[in-house]
Amino acid sequence: MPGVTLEARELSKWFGSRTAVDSVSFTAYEGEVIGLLGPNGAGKTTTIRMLSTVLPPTGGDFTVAGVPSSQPAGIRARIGVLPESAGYPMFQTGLEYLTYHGRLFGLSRDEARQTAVRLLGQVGLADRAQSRIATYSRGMRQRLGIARALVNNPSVVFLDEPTLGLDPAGQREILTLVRMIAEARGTTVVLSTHTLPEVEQVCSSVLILNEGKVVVSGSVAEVTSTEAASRQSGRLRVPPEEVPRAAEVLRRLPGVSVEVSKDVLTVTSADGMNSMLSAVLDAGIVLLSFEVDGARLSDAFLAMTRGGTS
Amino acid sequence: MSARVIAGQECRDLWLSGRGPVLTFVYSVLLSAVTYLAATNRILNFLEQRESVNLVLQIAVAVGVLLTLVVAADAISGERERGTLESLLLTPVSRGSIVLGKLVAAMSLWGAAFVVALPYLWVLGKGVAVVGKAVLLALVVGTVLALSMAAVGLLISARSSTNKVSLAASLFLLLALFAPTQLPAMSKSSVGDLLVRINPVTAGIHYIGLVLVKGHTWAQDLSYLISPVVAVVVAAVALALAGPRIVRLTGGVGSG
Amino acid sequence: MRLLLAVLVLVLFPATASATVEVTMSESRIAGAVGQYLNISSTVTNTGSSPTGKLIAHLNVASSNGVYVDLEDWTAAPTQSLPALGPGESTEVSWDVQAVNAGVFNVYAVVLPDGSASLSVSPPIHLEVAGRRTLSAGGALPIALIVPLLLGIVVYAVRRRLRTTT
Repeated sequence: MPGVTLEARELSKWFGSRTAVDSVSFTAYEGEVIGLLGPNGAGKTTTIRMLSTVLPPTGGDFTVAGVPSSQPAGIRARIGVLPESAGYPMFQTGLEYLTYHGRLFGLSRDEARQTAVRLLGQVGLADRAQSRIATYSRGMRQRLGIARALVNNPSVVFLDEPTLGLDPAGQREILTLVRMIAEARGTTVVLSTHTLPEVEQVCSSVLILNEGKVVVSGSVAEVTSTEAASRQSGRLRVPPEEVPRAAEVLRRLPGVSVEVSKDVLTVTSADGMNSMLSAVLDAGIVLLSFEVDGARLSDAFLAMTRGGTS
Repeated sequence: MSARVIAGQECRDLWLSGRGPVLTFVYSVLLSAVTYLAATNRILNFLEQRESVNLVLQIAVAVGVLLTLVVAADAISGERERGTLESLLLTPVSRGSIVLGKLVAAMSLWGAAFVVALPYLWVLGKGVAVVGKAVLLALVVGTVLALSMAAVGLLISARSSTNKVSLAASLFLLLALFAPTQLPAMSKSSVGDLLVRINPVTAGIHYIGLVLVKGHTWAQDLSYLISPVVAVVVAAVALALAGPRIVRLTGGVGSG
Repeated sequence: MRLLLAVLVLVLFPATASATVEVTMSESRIAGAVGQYLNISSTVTNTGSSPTGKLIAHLNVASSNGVYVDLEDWTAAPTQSLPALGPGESTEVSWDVQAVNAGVFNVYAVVLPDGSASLSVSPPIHLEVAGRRTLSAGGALPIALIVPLLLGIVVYAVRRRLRTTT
C-alpha cells in the first residue's frame, strides 16, 4: 500500500462573503495522479493555492509528505507547482531560470546547474537551454514550468491547467511528462484541467468540484459508474414521416426523455440504449442511423456540475 | 543566504535586461546638460562654483532617488502583473528575504547613479576644494534618502493592486516631498524651517546647501539630518515588520 | 566729593554698572572669492555680574579700499535677536554672508544691549575677496560628452547581447 503524501481536511476559503472552496477533504498516495475537475469558478485554482501555501485557508488543514499546514516553508520545500498561466522572466535563458530556482531551494551553484541541465533534458528542452525564454513556444514554456516544479525533487506536484492553450501535440507531450513524473519518480501529481479525455488518459482518481464543494471523488472507474454517469444518451435518425410515431413509442418507455429536431431524436435513458432500440424496431419503424455518446466521464461531469462550462 | 541569491538575480535582471543601463544613460544625459549649462552660464552672475556643484549634486540626488523609487515601486507589483511572483512565493525562501533581495537590487541603481555623478562633481568642483565634501554629502544624504524611498516604494508596491497604481502613488509621494525644495523662502520663517526639517527630502537637500555653499561645518546643522535618518529607520522597520505579511498574491486573483 | 559720589553710585547700583557684554569673532582673517558664501560666527558673552536684557546683534561690512557696500546684498538678515544672558553666560550667533564684491573688507558685529547707551563691538574680521573665478566650460564639456557616450556604449552592448542570444 503506497504511503499517503497529501491529506486535506475540511479545507475552506472565503473571499469576503463569497465562498471559493467549501470543506474540501481528500487523500492522495505516492505515484497517484489525481484529476481535479470542475467548471470555471469551481475552486480548483484556489484549492491548489491553499495546498501550495500561497493562500492561507480560512478553515481546515492539510499535510503534505507528513508536514502540517502550520509549517508553510517546510511544505514549499516538498512540493512543486506549475501555476495557472504562470509568467516567466523573458530575458533569462531556460538554464538560468532553472538554476536560479534550484538555488532558491537551497542547492549550491553547481548542484543547481546540474539539476537544471538534467531536468531540461527530461522535458525535451536540452537543445534550447541557452535560449531566452522569450523565444520559447507556449508548449516549451509549460514544459519549462514543469521542470521548475521538479527542481526540488518534490513529493507532490500540482499542475494547474498545464495543457491550456496547447495544440494536440503539445498536450500529448505534457501528458506523457505527467505520467513519467508519477511512474518514474513515485511523485503524487494533482492535475487541474478542463479537458476530460486527459483525465481518463493519465489520472488514477478524480475529484470533481462544483461551486467550491467536492461533488464526487474516487477512481475514474468509480466515478463513471455512478448513477448520473450511467445515464446514456444517443441520437436516432428515422424517415421524416415516422418521427412523430417514433417519439411517441420512445416516450412510453419508463425513464426515457426525448428531444426532437427535424428527423433526429435525441434520447437519454437510465437503462441503456437496448430497450429503446427494441421498442422502435418492434413498432416497425425503419432506423436510418443510431449513435451513442461514449464519453462517460464527461456525462458524469456534466450531470454533477449541472452543465458547467467545461 | 537566499536573500543574497535573490539580490544577485534581481541585479542581473535589472542590469542585463536593459532597464538599469538605459535609466543610468538617461540620468547621465541629464547631468551632462545641467553641468554644461552651469559651467557656461556666465551671465548668471552669482552662479559661483560651489553653487554650481550644489545644483548638480541636488539634481543628482533627486533624480537618483527618483530612479531608485521607480525600480522599487515596480519590484513586487510588476512581478505580480507579469505572473512571476507566484513561482517566487512557491519557494521555501522567506518573504523577508524576498523583500531584502529586492531592496538591494533597487539600491544598486542608486549606487550606479552615485558613481555616474562623480565625474560631474569633480569637473565643477575642482579648484575650490569642495569635491570631497560634495562626494561625501552625496554618499551620506543620497544613500539615506534613496534607502528610505526604496523601502517606501517596496511597501507601496506590495500593497498596490496594479503596477500602474504603485508607480503613480510612488511618483506622487516623491513629487509631494520634493516640491517644497523649490520654495526658496521656506527656511526663513520658523514655521517654514520646521516644515523643511520635518520633510526628510527638503531637510537633506537643505543640509547639502548649508555645508556645500554656505560653508557651514558638518556638525553645525546636523539636526537637519534627524528627519532623513528617522525616515530611513521608520521605513526599514515598517518594511521588516509588514513586508513579510503583505508580499503575497492579491486575494481572489484567478481563483478558479 | 565727586569721587565719593561715584563710589556711592557703584555700591548702590552695581547691576547697572557691571552689565557688560563682550563680542568675539571665530576668525580674524578670511579669504574667499566673489559669489562665495561665508559663515561668520561670533560669541556674545555677558562678562558682567548681572543679567542683561534682550540683546540685538548686528553684522556690518565696511570696505577698506573704497568699494561700495550694500549690506542687503551681502546678507538678507544682518540683524538678529539674542536671548537675555545671565552673568557669565554666552551664546553663539552666526550669519551667512555672500561676498558680492571683490576687494578688502572689515566685517564686524555690534551688540546693542537693551536700554543701555553703550554698544559692544567685536574685533573686525579681515576679509579678502578675490575676483571671480569663472567656471571653465571647456573643462566640463569633455566630461559632459564622455560619460553619456560610455554609458550609451554599455546600453548598446547589453541590447546587442540580448538580441543575439536567441
